[in-house]
Formats: sequence, C-alpha cells, structure tokens
Amino acid sequence: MMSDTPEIVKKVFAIFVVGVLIIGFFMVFTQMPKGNEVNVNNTVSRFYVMKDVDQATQMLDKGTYFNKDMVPLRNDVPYTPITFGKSENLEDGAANVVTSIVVDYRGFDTLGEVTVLFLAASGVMLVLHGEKRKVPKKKIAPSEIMYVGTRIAFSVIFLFGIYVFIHGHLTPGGGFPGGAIIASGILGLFLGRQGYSPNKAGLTVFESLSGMAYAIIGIIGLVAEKSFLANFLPTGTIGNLFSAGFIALIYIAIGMKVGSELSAVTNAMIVDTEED
Amino acid sequence: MITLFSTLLVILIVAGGFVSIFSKKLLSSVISMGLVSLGVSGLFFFLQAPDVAITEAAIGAGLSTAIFIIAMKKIQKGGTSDDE
Amino acid sequence: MIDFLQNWIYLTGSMALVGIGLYIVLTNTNIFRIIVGLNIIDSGTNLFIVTIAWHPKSVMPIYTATNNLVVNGHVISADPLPQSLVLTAIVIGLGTTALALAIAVKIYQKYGTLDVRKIKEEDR
Repeated sequence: MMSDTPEIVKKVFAIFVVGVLIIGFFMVFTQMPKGNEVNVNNTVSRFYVMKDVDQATQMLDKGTYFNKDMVPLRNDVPYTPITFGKSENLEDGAANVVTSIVVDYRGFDTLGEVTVLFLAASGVMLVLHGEKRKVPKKKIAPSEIMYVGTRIAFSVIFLFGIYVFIHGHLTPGGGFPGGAIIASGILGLFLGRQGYSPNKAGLTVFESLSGMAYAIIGIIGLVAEKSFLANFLPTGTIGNLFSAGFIALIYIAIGMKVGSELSAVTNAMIVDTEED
Repeated sequence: MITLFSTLLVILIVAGGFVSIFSKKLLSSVISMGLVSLGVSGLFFFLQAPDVAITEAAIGAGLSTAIFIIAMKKIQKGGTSDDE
Repeated sequence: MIDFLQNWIYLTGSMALVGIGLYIVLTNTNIFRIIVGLNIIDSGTNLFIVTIAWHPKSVMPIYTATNNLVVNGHVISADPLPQSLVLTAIVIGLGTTALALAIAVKIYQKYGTLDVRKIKEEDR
C-alpha cells in the first residue's frame, strides 16, 4: 500500500520530479533566441498593433502577400502612422491594443470565455445549493465605524470599478478587472455588517441581462456588417472617450456580468446552507 | 534599476512559495499564496503588461485569497454557523 | 551578471513558481493545500506566457500622447496577443478555484475530513 511508504521517500521522489521538470525547462530556454528577445515584427501581432488586419487579409487573398518562394512579405504591407489624438476612422479605434484584441479582433473567444466563467459560477451555486440555515453571526459585532466606513468605501470602490470598465479602451483595465473590483467592494459590505446579503434575484437578473446584451450586440453586428460581433459604430478619433465604436458597450456588459457573477459566488460561499 | 526591482520581486515570490510549502498552518499558506500573486502582478507591470497587472492585483491577490479564507472558515466551524 | 538578470530573471521566477506548485501538489494530502499548489502553478504559467511576449527594449502596448508603438515601420511594443490571452486566463482561474473550493467544502461536509487518503479508506 502507498500509505506504508515513509514520508522522506515521497519527498525525495517529489524533489526528483520537480528537478527533472526544471532541467527540461532550462534545456528549452537555452534554445530560445537570446534569452527572451522575441521579434514582434515576425508575428501576427504586428497587424494588431498597426491596425491593418483587413488590408493584410486582402493582400493574402489576392496572393500579393507572398513572394515567389512563398515567404511571407510581412514588412511590405503599406502603412500610415498612427498619431494619438489625430488619426481618425481607423480599423479599430481603441488606444489600448490589448482591449482591441480581447473585444474586437478576438471577440468570439471572449464570448466563450464569459460562458466558461458563467458555467463555473453556476457550478458553485449548484454545489452549495440548499436551504439557508440562519443568518451567519460574527462573534464580535462590527462597530458603527466599520458599518459606516465600509458603506462609504463601497460607493468609492463601485465608482472606481465603473471608471475602469468604461475607460477600458483608453487606459489599462477593462471589463474583467472592473467587475472584480466591484465584487471586492461587495465583499467589504459582507465584512462590515451583521447578516448582510445582497438581493439574489437582482444579481441573477442583472447578470442575465448583461449576458444577453453581449449576444444582442453581436447579432446587431451580424445584421449590419455581415459578421458576428463586427464593429457597427463609427470608430472616431483615437484617444477620445467616445471612440472605438462598440468596445465600450461590450466592456460595460462584461463588467456588469463579471461583477454580479463574482458577487453571487462570494455570497454562495459565505451563506451557510443546509441540505433539504 | 528596473532589473534590480524585478530581481527583488522574484526573490520575494520564491520566498513566498517556500513559506507556503513549509508552513504548518493552512492560513499562512494561503496568505503567502496571496503574496505570490501580488509579486507576480508587480512583475507583470515591469514586463510592460499593465492590463494583466491590474487584473492579477484585483483577482489573484484580492478576491482569490478572500474566497479561500471564507471557505476555510466554513470548514473549521464544521458547518455550525456562528462565524463567517 | 546584469545581462543574465535582465534576460533570464523572469523565466527563472516563473520556473521556480511552477516547481514549487508541483512540489506542493505532490507532497500534500490536504485538498486545500493541493488547491493552493494549483493556484501557484497558475501564477507561474501566466508569468511565463507574459515573459515570452516581452523583450528588454519594449514599451507597453497602449497608444498615448508620448508612447509610440511603431518607430520607422517596426513595432517596438511588447506582444499584445499573449497578454490578452493571459487576461482572460486569470479570470477563468478564479472561477475554477471557486468551483474546486465549493466541492472541497461539500467533501468535508460528507466525510468530515479533507485528507484524500482517509476519504479513500472511508469509501472502501
């Protein structure tokens, strides 16, 4: 039986496995070009940064993208420089390139990812489902300062979360961290109040509505631009708040969805239940 | 300068990992896991990825640790709900 | 030495995190500690993916008034594609961690222990 094996043998075996893994990693790293100096100009990310994926795809279709030996001419794509605050009507108007990849170029991927998060959250609620036993009580009741302080902090945190996901196309951040920030504000409310529980039905409705909004925005793109999740709004000047078309709309939907989902997960974890 | 800071952060996260291996109490293990997440978020900032850094700081260091501690409290009380 | 630190310190850190997490998963029998180890492996993998998208002279992939990503027709920013993949992977990691913790709580309520060996003996 495995349980007879002495503890030291198991530890030595674990150290051996970890050592083999690390030596393998090192052997791979020595084959990489000079530490980690990758060349972005040889990868597809070049088109995302330069915002000319359409043009490159057209050249690929026409056959002018490859030369005689079928070597891709990645440096030959004609390109107009992008200036912050001046360039207008780009293919994708977001100043934050990561956002433009997450929402615009690979939006379908993000839709699947949101679905996975939804499945994980509903799994948590399914596993921990049951009759609510009683309102959980703290041994030391939170004081008045705690009660008022967490509520004031919650309003500030809520505003900051909304700021993060509305400005997702200009500054670092976006729907996912914004939703997580709102959920941590609600966690603060749990700590500062005896027997707090958020409106569960409200969270569910909010979450379903924002999920539906994401799909509906995608279907509007399908009708208007003949492609699912295509940008159907004008992209405007790069760097303005009202730019980048539908990216702000989708990030508001994602932010509300992630925020309500993570709050519901926290609620399901905190509330004690009893199987019926 | 950035190299120095990132070296210090790598030393911090490796030390946090070793604390989470060798600590007897589960709580200190979980707290050092949150410390590892915080250090990794700082490294993401030095790696020119501010989006990933803000996400990791909000989720890895904040919510993940909190959910761990809530679940631990639930287990230590054995389901009798007199603390959360 | 400084050259080594600049190029390799992030790779060394990510590798060390994966090794530490694997050691925790292999040597512990408490389910909670196994989940802690998996979380550390998650952090290490994300750090590795972001590291290989970076080179020492890169800038962040956000257009601002002073931050130009394209100089003389060459992109000088860090690779934005792995960063966007990691951004979503972190959120998924939280969801799966919460699901694993919920299942662990249910296991404790059924068996009264979190030790995988005792659970196995009780099942027999």
